[in-house]
Amino acid sequence: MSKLVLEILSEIQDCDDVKNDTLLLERGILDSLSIIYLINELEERLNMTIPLEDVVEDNFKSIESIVEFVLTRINDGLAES
Amino acid sequence: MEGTKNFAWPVTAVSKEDFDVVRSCVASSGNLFRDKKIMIFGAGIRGSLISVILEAEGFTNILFTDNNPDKWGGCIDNHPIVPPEAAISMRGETVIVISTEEGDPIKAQLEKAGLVEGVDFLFPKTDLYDKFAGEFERKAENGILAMGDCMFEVVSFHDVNKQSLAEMIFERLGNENIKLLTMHGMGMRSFYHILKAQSAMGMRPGIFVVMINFETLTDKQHLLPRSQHSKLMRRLSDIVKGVDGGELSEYACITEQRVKNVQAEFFTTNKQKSAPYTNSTGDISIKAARLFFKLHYMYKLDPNTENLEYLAKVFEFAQAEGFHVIPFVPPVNYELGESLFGEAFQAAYRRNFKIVDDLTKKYNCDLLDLSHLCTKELFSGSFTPDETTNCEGRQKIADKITREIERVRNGCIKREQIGFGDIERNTRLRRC
Repeated sequence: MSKLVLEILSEIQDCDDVKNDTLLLERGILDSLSIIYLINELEERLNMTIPLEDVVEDNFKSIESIVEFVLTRINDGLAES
Repeated sequence: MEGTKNFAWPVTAVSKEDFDVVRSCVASSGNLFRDKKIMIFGAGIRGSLISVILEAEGFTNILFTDNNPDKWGGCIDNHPIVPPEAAISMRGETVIVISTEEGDPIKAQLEKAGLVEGVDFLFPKTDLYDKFAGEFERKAENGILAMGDCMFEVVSFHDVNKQSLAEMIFERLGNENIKLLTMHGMGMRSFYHILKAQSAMGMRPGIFVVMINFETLTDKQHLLPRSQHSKLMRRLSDIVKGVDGGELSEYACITEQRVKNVQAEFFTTNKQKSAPYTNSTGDISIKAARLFFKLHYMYKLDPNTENLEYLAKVFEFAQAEGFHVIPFVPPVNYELGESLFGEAFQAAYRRNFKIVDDLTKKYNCDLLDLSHLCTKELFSGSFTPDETTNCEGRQKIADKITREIERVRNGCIKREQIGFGDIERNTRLRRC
C-alpha cells in the first residue's frame, strides 16, 4: 500500500527522498490541490470512497498515516458489508 | 539565483481587473517606481502576478518579502525573498507593494513600523466582490444573464489586445442587454441560488447562459474554501433582503459552514514550503499540467454529484419560469491532453462529457459544446491546463456564445456545434 501511495505522490512531485514518515505537508509535497488529486486517485485505484469528514490533517501527514487511514477505511467497509 | 528555492507560480494569465489595478497604481504613483527598488510583500500567486506585470512595464529591480519564514532566502524567479524586518529597514530605498488581496493586516504591520501609505508602500486592491455585487444589483429585465468562472475575466500576458471575454461579449451584445456574473471557482449550486435570487428581485432573464466547468463539477469542490465565496454570498443575501424566501441566505450559511470545516485548504495553508507547479524557467511543469488535467477533466464524474443536481434544478426552474437556458462547455486544451495522456484523455473526457450531455438532453436542452473550439496555440500558454485562452481564442469563444444567443433570441432552429465527434469537420449543424 505504501508503494501505491508513493507512486501517486510521485505523479505530483519528485519524491526520490520521501520516506514513509516524511511530513508531506511540511515538505510541500501536498497542498490543497494535490490532496484532492491523491484522494481521487486512491478512490479510483482502490475502488473506495473517502468521506469529506475524513479529509483532515492527521490522515494525510505522511505516507504511513495515509496507509493506516486507507487500510482502516477498507477494513471498516468490509466489516460493514 | 541558482541553488535557491524558487517559489514562483506559473503565471501565464491574469485577471483583467488585477492587470488594470496594478498598471493604474504604477501610473498614479508618480516617480515612486522609477526611483526606487520595488519590494513586493507576499511571495505567493498574486505576488508572482504583480512581478510579471511590473516586469512587462519595464521594472526589473524587484525584491520580495513575506511573513512566512520558510520563504526567506528563496526567490521568485530571479528576485530574492527577504524577511519583513529587512524590507522595513530598507525604507527610503524601496517602495513596498502589498500583493495579497486580504492585505489589511500587512498594511497595519507596515503602519505600525512607521511606514506611510503612498510614500513607503502602496496597496493596489481589487475588489471582485464589489464588482460582482454591483452587477448583481444592476437593473436588467427580460434580458440575458450569463454566469461562469474567471474565464470571462482572465487575459494572457502574451496578449497585445488585453480585452477580456466579458468585455468582448459586452461589446457585441451591448452592456444594457446582458448581465455577466462571473467569479473564479464558482460552481453550479451558487449559480442556481443567484439565478433564483435575480428572478425574485424582478430580474428574471429571458436567456440564461451558464458555463459548465468540469473542474467545478467534482464532488470535492467544496473541499476548497476559496470556491465557496461565503462573504460574497452573505453580501448578496443582504442585498436580496429575503425576497427570495431566504433561500440565498440559507445557502450563505452553508458556504460559511463549509469554509469552517477542517478541510484540505485549512490544514495546508501556510505549511506549504514550495510551489511544486513550476519548472526551472518558471513555466508550468509537465507534472503540474498532468495533475491539473487529471483534476479538471479526468476524474470520475458522479452523475449524482451536487453541482449536477443543481444543473438539473436550473433546467427545471427555467422550464417553470419559461426562459431559455444556453449551457456551454468551455474549450479544453485537448491537444495538450492528448500529448500528456494519449487516448486515455479522450476516453475520460468523453465519459464525463456524456454525463453532462445526457442531463441537458433530458431537459430538451442542447449543450453548446466548445470543447474543441481552440487549438493549443489559442491558449494562454503552451502548457495551459484549463480554459484560459489568448485574445484570438477569446474572440472565437465570444463569437460562438453571442451567435448562439442571437440564434436563440431570433428563434433560429439550427446552430453550430463544435465538440467531440466534430474534430475533423470542426463544425456541424444540429437541430435544436
